[in-house]
Amino acid sequence: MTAEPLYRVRDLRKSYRVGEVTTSALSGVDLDVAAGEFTAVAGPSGSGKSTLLHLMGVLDHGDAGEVWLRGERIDRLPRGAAARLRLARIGFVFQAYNLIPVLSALENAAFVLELRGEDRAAREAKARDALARLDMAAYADRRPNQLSGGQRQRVAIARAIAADPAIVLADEPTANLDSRAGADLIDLMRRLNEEEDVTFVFSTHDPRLLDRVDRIVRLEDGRVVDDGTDATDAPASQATP
Amino acid sequence: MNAALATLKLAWRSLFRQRLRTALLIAVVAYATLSILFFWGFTDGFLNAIFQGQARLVAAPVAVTTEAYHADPDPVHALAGLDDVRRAVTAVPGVRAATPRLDVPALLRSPYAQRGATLRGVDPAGESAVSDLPDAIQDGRMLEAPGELVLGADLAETLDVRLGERVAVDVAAVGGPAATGLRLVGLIDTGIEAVDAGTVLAHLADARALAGVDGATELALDVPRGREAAVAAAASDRLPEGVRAYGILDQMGELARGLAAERVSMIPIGLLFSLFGAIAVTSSLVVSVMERTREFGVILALGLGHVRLAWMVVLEAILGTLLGYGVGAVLGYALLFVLHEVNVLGPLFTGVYGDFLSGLALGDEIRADVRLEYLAYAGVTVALAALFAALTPARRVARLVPAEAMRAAE
Amino acid sequence: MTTFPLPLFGSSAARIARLRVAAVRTAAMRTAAVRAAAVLAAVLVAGGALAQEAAVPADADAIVDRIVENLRGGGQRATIRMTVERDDATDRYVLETIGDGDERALTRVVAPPNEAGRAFLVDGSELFVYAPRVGRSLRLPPSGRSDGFLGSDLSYDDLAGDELRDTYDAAIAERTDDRVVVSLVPRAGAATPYGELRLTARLPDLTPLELTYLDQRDAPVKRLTLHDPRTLEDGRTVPTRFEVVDLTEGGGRTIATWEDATFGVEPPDRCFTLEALETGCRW
Repeated sequence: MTAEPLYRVRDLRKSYRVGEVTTSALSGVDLDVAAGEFTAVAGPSGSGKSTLLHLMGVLDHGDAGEVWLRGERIDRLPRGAAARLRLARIGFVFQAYNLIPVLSALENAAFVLELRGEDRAAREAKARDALARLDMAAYADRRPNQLSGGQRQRVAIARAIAADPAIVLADEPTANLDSRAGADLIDLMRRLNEEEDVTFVFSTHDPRLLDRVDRIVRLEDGRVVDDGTDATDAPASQATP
Repeated sequence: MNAALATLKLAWRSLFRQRLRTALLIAVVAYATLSILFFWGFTDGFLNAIFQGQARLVAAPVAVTTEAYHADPDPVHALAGLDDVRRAVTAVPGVRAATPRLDVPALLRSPYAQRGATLRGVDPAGESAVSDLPDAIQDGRMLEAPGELVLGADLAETLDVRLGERVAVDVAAVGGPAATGLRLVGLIDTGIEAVDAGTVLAHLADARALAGVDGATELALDVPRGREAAVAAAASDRLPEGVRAYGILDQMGELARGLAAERVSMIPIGLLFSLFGAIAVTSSLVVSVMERTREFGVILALGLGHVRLAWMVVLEAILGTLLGYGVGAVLGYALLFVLHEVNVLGPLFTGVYGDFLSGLALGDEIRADVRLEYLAYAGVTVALAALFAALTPARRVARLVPAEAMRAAE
Repeated sequence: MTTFPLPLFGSSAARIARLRVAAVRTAAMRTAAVRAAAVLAAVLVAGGALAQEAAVPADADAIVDRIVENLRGGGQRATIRMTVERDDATDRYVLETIGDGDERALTRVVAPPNEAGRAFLVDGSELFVYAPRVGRSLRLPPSGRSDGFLGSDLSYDDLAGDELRDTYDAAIAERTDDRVVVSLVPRAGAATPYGELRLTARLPDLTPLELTYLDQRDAPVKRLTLHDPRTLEDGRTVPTRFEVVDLTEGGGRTIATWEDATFGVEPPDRCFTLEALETGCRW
């Protein structure tokens, strides 16, 4: 591992309060992510995967601990600075696709660039390119409701990579897809990682996808219980103490 | 600056992307604008109709008379030097015709009843140029010679006199009492109570003989509609001292002031219209923002700051409202223009208002007024509504937590 | 004279002419009943004389002239009891009147008490009223002479002889041994609303018996009948009871009965002044 990781997470804690009950989502997570990694955060539902990704993506603040991105501490950024950071450096892919329904695939792919204020020609060129890299060039003019789940998620990935972020954080990107489409999507992400050096961290609870990743970070009850760099030597069932 | 422009562009594009919502917003704002334009155009048109009815059926578009007569309508203050006055005013631009009138308080008697009324002596040939009364004769004909009488149909019915019968007319004249018998030749039926129950037309020569006055109490002028006050002012400049030209509002005096007050009293109703418009605009904007909670969550997550997002929402509201306002203004003025050119409102509303406004000479012609100031009335309303409507969602947007907002139902 | 002379406004013409028609009418109606009573009395007094015995002329105009001359008899002083019957009420008046037999008469209401003291002066074409409550005399507008009085349509104008001669063309409609009926048709431009008047007189003395007013559709609308003639020393025959019936729908009836009348008197001029109107006249 090089001296300065892309991400450095230290003792990150987060709890949610629902009525009288306080639930601990993260109970002291440590994690480093290097540039160019293809990392899966695995664990059962409620283990804290989404919370970890949200805090890494500065969509929310933790209760304690630190998050560093390229040597810059980002866990205490004010709202506006956090938004600017997301816009400039972080790509997001969500479980529910979260495409904007009234926009075409091309417009959705170009949306982050549009938010950045890039001119139309530049953002459309980048968006078309991103769609092509995801084999979606033919669907550029379709609206989300005219696409399958897998196609929608590809558009979502295109939106994330079109803006050339430092990292793409994908929260359960395959959860709404059938197993075949889910596997295809992960393969596509893997290809982008290998061929274009896009750094991915994605969460999943589907063990069948884990043989396609370099590194699996296993979470249980808000703690990292395993951080294996080889998928094959640490299946989820065996990793549990 | 760049961010502001980018946000504006974002809002503008967003407006076109949300076609259905934008169309709805434009429709609502346009409808509110159009309603306000129509309300005031109709209100003013209605008042104008009363003024015009008064001008064409009761008074004159412009009346030239002595200041003394204007203050105290007694034939003793009649115009002297009628020919000079006529020469002076016919040279005034806008004066299309001039005809003398002599108004005399008179008592009309039939074998069965008697009624007081103002007898108007007219020149039968000239009267139709300034008055619609000759055209409103439903039975019989207009005066042709001395010795004849035209009455409002209701007055004739009250007196129970028929065409061809004689009516005794008594007058308390300047030179002493006088009386004559005039043969009824025409009945005026306008459907307007004030006119049908109050009109008495006689030949100018008879009125002069009765009143003992060799002139006229007024010279009635025909001028283009809407130019009454301007022509009256221009004419007054050319008239000798003590003689003035009065536009219709001046002639109506108290009645005109009453109607002006009537317009003021319409303001609360106008405000109510505005309030409804504002509520419609507000709710349409608020609902549209509520529906987009998830979208806003995504936009926030992707990296647009809360402030810019709030501005985007406000700008969307402003732009959409402006578009709706523009559409409403175009449609509204088009409607008012049509309702001004074509007498659609008259037949619709005369029946409705005729009964309780029967004291006024409201004819069956109501043409919408078209004034630029309505644009301001609608503009202020829509602007306030949009401001209120945009701030509410903006505050809401400012409180959104992206992760939660994205969980909102589509 | 082509038009009948209504009371003139004289020097204060401008002021009174200012009254708008409505005001004129209101004022007229307010005092109509009492004033009309006085007018009737004046008419009765002025016309209380009778025709002399003479040869009956053949010409209709001459017959009317004779009747009118009879109506304009000599001076008199009288108490007149008058009953006005309407649909809803009956009013009774007692009037004291002095007339010169020509065109002047002073009449004062004696009863009922709430009207007592009111006085009326007819002087040619002028008509004045005195109201004791306000202590003032008032010149009345011209409609006073054409207003119907006491619920009937009989007016001073209708009865004054001048109008009969100047406003109408006369023709004999019917003649028998003991009566003549003269048809009076308004001339062109005549200031009368009637279509025809039918005047019936007794022959040979031409004592008026009846005057019927017809509208312009030949329907009678009003009828004056004269009764109970009393023969005076000079041979004139004076009717002592007058009845006016309004024949239109809802019309009333007025009966005036002569009591305590002295004929042949010559009241002095001072009895027909505004001062006399306010304070009375004794001689």
